[in-house]
Amino acid sequence: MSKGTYALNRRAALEGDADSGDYVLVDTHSATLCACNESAWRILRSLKKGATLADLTGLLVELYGIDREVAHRDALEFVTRLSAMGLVDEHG
Amino acid sequence: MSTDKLRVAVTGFDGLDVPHPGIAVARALREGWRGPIELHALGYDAFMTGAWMQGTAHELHVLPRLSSGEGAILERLVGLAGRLGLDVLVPTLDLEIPVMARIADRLAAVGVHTLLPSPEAIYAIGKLRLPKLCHDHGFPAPRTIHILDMGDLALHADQFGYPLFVKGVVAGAKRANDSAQACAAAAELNEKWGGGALLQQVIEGEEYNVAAVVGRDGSIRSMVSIRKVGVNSKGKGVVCTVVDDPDIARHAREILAALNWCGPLELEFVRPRGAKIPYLIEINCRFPSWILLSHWAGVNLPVLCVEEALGRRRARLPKAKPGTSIVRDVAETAIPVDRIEALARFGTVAGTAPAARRNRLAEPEGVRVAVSGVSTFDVVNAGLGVARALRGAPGIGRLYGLGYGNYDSGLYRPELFDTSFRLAATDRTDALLDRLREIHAGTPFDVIVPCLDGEVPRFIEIRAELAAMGVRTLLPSRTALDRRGKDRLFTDPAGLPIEGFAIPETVAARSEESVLRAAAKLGFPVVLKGAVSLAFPAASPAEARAAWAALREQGYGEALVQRFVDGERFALAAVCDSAHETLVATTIKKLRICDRGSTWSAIAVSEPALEAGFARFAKALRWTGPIEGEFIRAKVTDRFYLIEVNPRFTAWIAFTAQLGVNHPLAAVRCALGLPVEFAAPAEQLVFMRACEDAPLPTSAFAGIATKGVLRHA
Repeated sequence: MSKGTYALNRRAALEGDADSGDYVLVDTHSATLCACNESAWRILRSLKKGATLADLTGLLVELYGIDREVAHRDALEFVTRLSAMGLVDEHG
Repeated sequence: MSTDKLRVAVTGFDGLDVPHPGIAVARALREGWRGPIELHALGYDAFMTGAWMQGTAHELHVLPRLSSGEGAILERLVGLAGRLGLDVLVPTLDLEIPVMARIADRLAAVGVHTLLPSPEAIYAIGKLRLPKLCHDHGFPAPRTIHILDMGDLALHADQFGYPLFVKGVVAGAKRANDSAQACAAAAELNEKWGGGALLQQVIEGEEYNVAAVVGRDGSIRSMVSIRKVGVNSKGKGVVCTVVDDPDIARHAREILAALNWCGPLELEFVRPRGAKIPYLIEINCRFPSWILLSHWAGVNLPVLCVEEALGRRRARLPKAKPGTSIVRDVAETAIPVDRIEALARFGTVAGTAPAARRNRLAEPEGVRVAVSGVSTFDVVNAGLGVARALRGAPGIGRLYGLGYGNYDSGLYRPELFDTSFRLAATDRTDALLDRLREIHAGTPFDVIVPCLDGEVPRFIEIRAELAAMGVRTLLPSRTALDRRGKDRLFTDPAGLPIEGFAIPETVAARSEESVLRAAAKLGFPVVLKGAVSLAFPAASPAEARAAWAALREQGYGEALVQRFVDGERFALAAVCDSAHETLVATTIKKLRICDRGSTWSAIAVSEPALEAGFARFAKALRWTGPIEGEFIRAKVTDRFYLIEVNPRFTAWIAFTAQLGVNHPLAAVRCALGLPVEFAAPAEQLVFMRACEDAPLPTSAFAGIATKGVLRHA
């Protein structure tokens, strides 16, 4: 799990209200709601379009100004968790 | 869009805290029908509370009881059809669907369309036949047996193993952990529905329901699948979310294909963790009570049902939007007693007009009030009634709702609160104070009204700190609060003036043996009460044992065994000032009570002797703030017995505003040191409450869950 493009699948839906800053990831199979902060929301929106780990790492670096290695580890963990929930697929 | 007015009759507007589906079906039709529509509410007595809610029905009509036979039902419906020009009938109650199915052709002959299955198809899905149906088709289902002889129940339950569900043959289900609980549940359900009881294996897992409308040709017009996300202690789904799970949908289609069905229907499933295929628990031959969710999800199944009944079919139907959620809340209104009497006498009366849009913020510079206790999850909290009473009241400005759980329904009601906040779900008083300080710093408020029994002691403890923040309260002292507690009031009433009412003889018991001894001393029936909440009637030693076990299960180490008083239920709500004088008092006679003892319909009554006696009682307690006494007037002696004293507003308190004696307004004004004056109430009104589902926007839920705040205005 490192080189391909990751994308949220149809099971995942994103609901957000930009005015209040309240964002949710919905697992449409189980009705599980995951409330998201702004950063998680931006990563999920990237994943909606499809993103590589490098893309996500870059996004985290941009958002938090953190070390690239730490950002890579966090991005990998995020995608791994989404994958375990069955919400993200790897392509290519 | 059709310009001809469609006239639809719907049944099922009662049910109280377990609402009949007609309430949601009618609202779904009103909100989703594209064209003029006139809705007629049909019921079996004048107290179908859901039908009286504002804007629900054009007219209300009483039908003969089902026990009077289908001839009588048909005659009444044909009469109504002739007078009203009814186009469609949508029955929604389990027991009446077979009757309506049998007379459907004769209704069609007078122009009333229905979409109903054949009586044979209904018979095949009945609770008693469902195990065989599942076995024949290989559908996973819990092991179920039917017990006819209640004397054999304990034996079969022991062989079955615990826990198990005991179910009535028509409706109702209770979980039992031992034979005493199983026997008590079975006796209650058999008493209510007859026909014995069912014992069913408990399948642990997530609860999913599927509602569908099947066309006359057997094709599934549409389906909506939901998961019960929030299930209350009665096992009822009070928060439901639409799902799009292909395994559930596929299995539902397989089942529907085996049923030879036509019309609305609900499949109830439980899916064990990790399993793909869910267990089929029940099939209901009607819409579920959560069906309004289908409207908000974009596939209004009641509208589809009416279209199909009329032979109109849309070429394309959208899919239900997954993630759409509802939370169960309540609506309340007050109806002139003449109208209820007219419905009872003449069988028909005009419905209640839609509510006029009130100015949500009557006085922008008015008093800002924070109100807690805004949930309907298990019981209807009083904070909802307090908010209803204060909304738009003179001198009242912004209202803030304070909840403890993400599913507290009031948090999501913009018509009640300008902003909602979640408090920490902890018993720690310092955490409560810290959170209130945090809220107050960003959103200042002038008065706070705590409305839950359990939080009153903590608010008493932090009253000085709140005052230092400029927040006023109207609360009793800790001594007064403790003195009215059941454990002291009933076992040691000495020193309190008990005039105008009596206290039922009560014995405290700390073991099963002492419970039985106390019950023998008082004579059956008795009531076993917990010190804070819960009350279980017991008519025999076996029931007393089951009641004691139920109290123990809830963590009680002591039961107050009280003589059961048979009679009508009353409640007396009052507000006392800091000199312990009663500022306002209102007495009601309860007309509809749910299983939990909550009031769903009531009429205001004049009981000056009782009110004077209770005022002396409150003064002797040195009470300050809202207080409620609950009474039973003994059938034989007409004597009032005090059975409970609640240290807060009661959930029906919005009724006092409609009577012209707004108790929450009196409390707020008193807390601020302002005078309290009310004119005498003008007309005799009846309080009515019904369940009402509210949309639960996903992002609003996220706001409460993550930030603890939801701004409506």
